[in-house]
Amino acid sequence: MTSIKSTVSVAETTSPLALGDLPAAAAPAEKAESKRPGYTGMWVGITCEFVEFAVFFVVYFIARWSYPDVFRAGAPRLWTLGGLLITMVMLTSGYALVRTVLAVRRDDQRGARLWMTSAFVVALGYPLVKWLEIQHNLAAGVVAGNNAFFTVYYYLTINHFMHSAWGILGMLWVLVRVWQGAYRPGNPKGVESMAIYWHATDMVWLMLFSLFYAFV
Amino acid sequence: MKRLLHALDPRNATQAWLALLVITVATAGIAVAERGVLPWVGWIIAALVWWKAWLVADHYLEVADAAPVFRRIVVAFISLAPVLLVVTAWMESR
Repeated sequence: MTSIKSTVSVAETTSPLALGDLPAAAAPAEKAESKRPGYTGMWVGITCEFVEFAVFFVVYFIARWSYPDVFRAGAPRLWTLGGLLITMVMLTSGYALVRTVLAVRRDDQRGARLWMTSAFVVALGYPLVKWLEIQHNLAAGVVAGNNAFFTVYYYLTINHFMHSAWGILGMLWVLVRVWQGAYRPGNPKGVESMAIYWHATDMVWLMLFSLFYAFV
Repeated sequence: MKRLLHALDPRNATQAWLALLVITVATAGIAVAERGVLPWVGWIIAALVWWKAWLVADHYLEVADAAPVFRRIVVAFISLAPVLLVVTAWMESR
């Protein structure tokens, strides 16, 4: 009986699906993983986001190469200041998230609460500026059905706005958890993952800014 | 060149944030002022947008500490649109 128990125990710990003790050889990899920022799942998630927008960028350039005159005539009709303001909002809220992560890592709970609140409040500027931009577009007759440029512009920027809206909802959750003191130097992965998502969305926006608002 | 790039590299997240804001305003200014005037301005915009994305990846995303596969994916993604912008500027200048 003792030998059967012993065999079962070995089988459990060496199984590739075992959730208990890890084999000794996997320990260093696990240790390295714990030092990396955020959850691996979030890195996989932003990879999916990058693939999605990479496809959109290819669509953009095919449309631009097919209708160069339409793109050249369409870009000046966009609200450049609106694009600039959204960029400022994304970069500044991202910076506040960086400071939040740094504060959590050194167990500065007051600093974490301050910076996380700042990140959330600044991020709310995005829906506000987007609303103003749509008002500006409607007044100028800029609608998605006009031509290929405006169709691609609306598809990509609204899609980005949806990703950012999910990010803002995620920020609200992390904000509540920060005020509850849930993140500590030994447990920063949740707030790091939130920051990773927002920075990835920020990088996508920087590309969109150059494709539409800083069009040359 | 290497020394210049080192001097331009921000030392912390605050400097990176300020640099990002300045480059963003410069990008918009160049684009609006030079739109359709000089074909190679597209190359400058492509370089500036790559630089901005790299600053976010390096100082915000901490991509240097990420797993190598994700590091490569980030670099590939931030290079895609700038490379296609350069190709577009080259095609339009012919």
